[in-house]
Amino acid sequence: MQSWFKFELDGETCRVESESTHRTLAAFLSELDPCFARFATDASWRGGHLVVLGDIEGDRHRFRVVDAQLLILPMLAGRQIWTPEGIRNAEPDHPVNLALQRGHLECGQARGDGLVALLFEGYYRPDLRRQGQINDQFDAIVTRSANVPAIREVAAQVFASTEQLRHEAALKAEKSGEESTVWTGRKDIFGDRFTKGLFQIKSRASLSYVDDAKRRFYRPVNLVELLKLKREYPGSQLIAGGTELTQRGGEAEWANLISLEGVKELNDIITTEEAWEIGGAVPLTEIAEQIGRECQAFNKIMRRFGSRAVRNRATLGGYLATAWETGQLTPLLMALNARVILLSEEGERDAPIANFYTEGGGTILSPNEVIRSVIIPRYTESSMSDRGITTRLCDTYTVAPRRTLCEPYATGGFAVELRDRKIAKAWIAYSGIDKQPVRARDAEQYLAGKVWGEKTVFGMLPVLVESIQVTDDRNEIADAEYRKQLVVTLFQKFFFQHPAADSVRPETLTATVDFARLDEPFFDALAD
Amino acid sequence: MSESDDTITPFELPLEKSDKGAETFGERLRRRRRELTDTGPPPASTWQSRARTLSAIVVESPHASASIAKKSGDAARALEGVECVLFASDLPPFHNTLGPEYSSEPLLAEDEVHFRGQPVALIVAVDLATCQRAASLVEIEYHTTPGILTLEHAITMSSYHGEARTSQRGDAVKAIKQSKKKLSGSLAIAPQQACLAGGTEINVRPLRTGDGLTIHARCLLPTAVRSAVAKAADLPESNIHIEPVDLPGPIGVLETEPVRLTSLATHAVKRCGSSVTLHVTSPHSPLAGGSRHQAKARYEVGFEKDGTINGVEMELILEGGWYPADSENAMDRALLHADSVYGFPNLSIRARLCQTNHIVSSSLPAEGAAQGCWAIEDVIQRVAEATGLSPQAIREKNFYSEEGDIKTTPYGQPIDAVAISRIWTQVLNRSEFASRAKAVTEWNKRNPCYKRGIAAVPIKFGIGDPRSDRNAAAAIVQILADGSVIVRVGLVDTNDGLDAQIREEVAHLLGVEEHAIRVILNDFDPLPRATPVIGTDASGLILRALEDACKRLTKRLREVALQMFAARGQTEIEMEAIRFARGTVGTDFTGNAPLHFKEVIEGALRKRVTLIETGYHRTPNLWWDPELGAGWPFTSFTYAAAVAEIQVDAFTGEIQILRLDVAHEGSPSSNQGERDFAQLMRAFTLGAGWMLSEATPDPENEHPDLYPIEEGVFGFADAPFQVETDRLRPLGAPATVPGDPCGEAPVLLAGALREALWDALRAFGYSNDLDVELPLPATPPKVLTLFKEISRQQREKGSNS
Repeated sequence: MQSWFKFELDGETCRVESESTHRTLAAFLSELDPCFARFATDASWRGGHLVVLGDIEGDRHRFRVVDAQLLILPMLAGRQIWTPEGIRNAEPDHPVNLALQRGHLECGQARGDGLVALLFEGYYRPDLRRQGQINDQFDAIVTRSANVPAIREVAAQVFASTEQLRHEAALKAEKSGEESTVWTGRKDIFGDRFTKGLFQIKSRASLSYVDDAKRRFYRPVNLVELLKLKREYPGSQLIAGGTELTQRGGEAEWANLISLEGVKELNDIITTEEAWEIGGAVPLTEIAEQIGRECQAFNKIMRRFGSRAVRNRATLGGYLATAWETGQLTPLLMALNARVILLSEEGERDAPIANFYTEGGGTILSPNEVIRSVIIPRYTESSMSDRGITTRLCDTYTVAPRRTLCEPYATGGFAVELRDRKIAKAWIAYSGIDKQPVRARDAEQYLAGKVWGEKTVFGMLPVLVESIQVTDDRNEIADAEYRKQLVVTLFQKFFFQHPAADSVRPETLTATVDFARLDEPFFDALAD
Repeated sequence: MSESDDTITPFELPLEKSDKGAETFGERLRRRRRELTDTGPPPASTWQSRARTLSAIVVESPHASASIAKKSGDAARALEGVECVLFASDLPPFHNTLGPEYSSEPLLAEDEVHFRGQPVALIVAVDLATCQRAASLVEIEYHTTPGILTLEHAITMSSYHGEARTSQRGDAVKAIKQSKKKLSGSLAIAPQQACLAGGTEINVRPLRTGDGLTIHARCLLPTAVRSAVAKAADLPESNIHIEPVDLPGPIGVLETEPVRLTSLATHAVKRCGSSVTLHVTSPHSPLAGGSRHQAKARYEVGFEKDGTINGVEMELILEGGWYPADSENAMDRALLHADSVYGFPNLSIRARLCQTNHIVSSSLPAEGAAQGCWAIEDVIQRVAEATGLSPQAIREKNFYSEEGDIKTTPYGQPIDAVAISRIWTQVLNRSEFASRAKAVTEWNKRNPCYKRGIAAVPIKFGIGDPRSDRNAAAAIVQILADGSVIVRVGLVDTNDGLDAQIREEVAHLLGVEEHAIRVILNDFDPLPRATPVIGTDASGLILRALEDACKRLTKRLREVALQMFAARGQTEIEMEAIRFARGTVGTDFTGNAPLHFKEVIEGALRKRVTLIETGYHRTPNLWWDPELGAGWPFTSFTYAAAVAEIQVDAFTGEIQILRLDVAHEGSPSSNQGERDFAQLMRAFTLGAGWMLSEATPDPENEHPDLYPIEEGVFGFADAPFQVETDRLRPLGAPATVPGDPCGEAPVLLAGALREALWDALRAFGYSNDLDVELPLPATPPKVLTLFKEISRQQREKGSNS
């Protein structure tokens, strides 16, 4: 047990001693130096106080933009933090700083700081390659006073310069056959002071920290340790990304914290022929990076979930455990027929997502259990043809007052498995409708065995309306009547966008593609 | 400042004792003063007391309308750590008021409360937590009374502030009567919430010497705060210092609200002798927030088959809250913008201000102007529906035209018809409107479930404040020994790039490099009054004030340079021929080696010529007589037009802005194109949020705190996919060209979104004979309900026929 730990703040070692385990980074910074005074104010309504976290995920070193209000200090042990102020001072000639000085953004100091952090992360992101991704990168920005076209332009310039660097590095690496390390970001192609420091980070070591009030923070490195700790400290609170717990602020309730971030088994994504097994403590961004290309619907819903800074920290296990009634991911997980694996010292058990939630807004998770992983089937052609399925149509839709960073009205996740033109099985799931995410089992049964077509769908709608209960106790903005309509219209939308197996891509049905250059790369190596 | 330090003999009333039982006013005053002094004088301001910082909170009324039966702070005062609990009766006599320049409302409610959130008591304690605990112990008994919460209710009850104001041209009633076709309609415009910053904090602390105060507050007009604090603290204004704060933009801060809060905080400081931080923690407290004026327009219009509008009679009703701080100004602006760019021969506009149990605010960009402009666009829309012509055709037919007889607005300010037609053609060409409109129709035919809409809307925006005393600005220019320049303008810095514009202009005027100029914004000590940045043409006024200052400086420097040239033997140079450019001072003639600017400054210092100058500018000839309905209220008009294309999702009612084309007049500074663009995007986003997403709670809602207003503000991905702008050179005389035409006017351009939405609705089957109203803001739930209503009415119509 130690009463101190270290992390790197703006390139210098910062030793933390006898600080409360519950202290957020924002609170810590605001008292550290007058130049960080702005961290003291609450900024959650406009995307939070963004800083950059340098970390290792598996074997990949990454800069991740995070909200300093949603990080507690002991989480940072052994990691790096770059504040916007630090980024500006450390290298005033960094492409990000130069771009922001040149661009005519006319924004206040606070917005400017947020932009530094977001651009900085984007600059080092190996997967940021197309114009359409700019929106995801900057979705922590609420725009009453931001000049979005100018930010898009600045961002495209900065990201194009990275892409060019990456292309050049890839050409060089081709000779040694290490090309893939460049594209996945496993190799430091920048060689600047930021990445040099980043690549020195070692994997997460075990940590046991105790503060002055005798509250403990443990970071075990494997499951055995974790379960042992959980038994020793029955009242302790598990914490993964901490995006939910830090917002609650109910300090007294959870004296001791056990972090899941170091537990190796919970931080892996195992890909097999049939399924992905996603560890309970894998951040959402990482999941999207790994499975998003194959599972487009997951990528799609991720763009509407929280903001970049939240997704960088929030984990799938944490998301499930909090049983968020309007959560946008659950309907899709239900439609994908995902399963949750729960682990305790007694052993393992698993349940389909739909059975994971209990009526009234709870979960089946018992106090001595942890969410070990979530298994998402891959639905490859071979696995489907074994079952005689010709096509699986799956999609998810969410409706909210604005596109990101807000409580959605409702979310729907749908899937139908077709045997030729007939429906073999259907999944219809919603969240934001009732106190817990729900599946419309009656409607699913109605569809089974029928032909996937307009007549079936319209015949099913009354059954759907009957089987779904809409709660009336959410706030005024989420009008119950509207959510009731969405139950029907979201499914209609699904049918409209996926009328047949070999249909067109849904995006082309909207005017969006004519106006937004979503697929255009930032940098085209083949162009002169 | 302590009572004992006060060497001035306090004002005493004659000691007359009345025989009657009732207490006279004078007696009451004396008694009150005695009561106050009997509790002991307030603690002297010592260095110990000044060194600590106390927290304060306001106890807000939970009711919109109530009488206060009982107020007691004894339990709260007894709590450890509580310094004082102040009610209205605890404030010094005559000090419980916000001042006549606002609304004369009491700082702390006396016997009645008139809006939810009205301050009733002020609690000062060692920290915020103790304040909140004490607040729960304060006993206030309210007897609620039925208040007037909605605009409709106020109209029914004839609850108005003051008289109606009118502005007219021709005889609208007669013209409508004689017209072949006529129709009537109405438009309800919801309020928009101003601030989203999640509460606010105001810090007032005594200066080290004990005879002054320093204020730290987010405010839009700091000198107003200075005046109010001086009045509350009985100090001369010169002893009040305002600290600069970082503002994200002209929105998010207001004029009146910080004045109210700083006055309260000052009373707390006076009472306790310590620094006080006043917290408004609730993000939805009207004390920190404030909202725009809700409006309702009712109109009657007479027109011909070809779309010529003969007469419009319009009534604009704005919600003025209980205490109309500056709502009259909003009403005036609505009245003055309701003709927009249309030269209807007969037009009668009547504006009224309703009294309701709310609190409203008007220091928001384009407040009032937007309500007036959107109301008249609604008229155009209805006429287009009724005639079956395109709204664009109706607009073109009714513009103020060069050939027509009407050359002025109904109130008499001249209109530039050329500018209107220029901006209109430019935006239609730029956006390829005709071909895109065709493409939209084609696309809508193919797509049953997503509909697109496209529309063009022109606007006219009056720059300047109808309250003419606000249209003045001062600036100080000083040249330092090495030729670098410091410019001080008493403006609040809203991070809108104004400093860059000032730098460009001063560099041009003095002929020095831009990097040698330092612009100091947010410094309020050197100038007597700050220019309001909202409502006025602040940057235009500042630029002209700087021109004034620089002209006088260059005149002096010319004399110096002339002598220096003469000393070099160049005696043939005339003073008028000397120019300042690129860091040199010389003539246009080649052959004369110019002097360095620095050399001239050194010469000026040797000759003891002063190098500091104050510039001042006030817009000449401004007047506005609301009773006559006539005047020249604006410095000038700026014209702009926008084409917006949107897509509506029929399944969810969600709207995406696809493309926006804008033609607008630019600022006079040649290098400020990007600044103009940034300003334009900022103001347009504000308007678009108001138009499409920022729903506000129902006024009769008892728990508006639970309503997540901030969730309706546009996110990054909600911004238009494509934005094209054309910045045109303003046509007017150089002296009337506004400095920042894109600061507020683009809020009005969001009207194009509403028109585009109408266009999309037509593709859904909306036609003139259906009785539906397009709500404002058109949030997804409202739009989806509208679709349902349209299809229901269509079905009914189908079954009837």
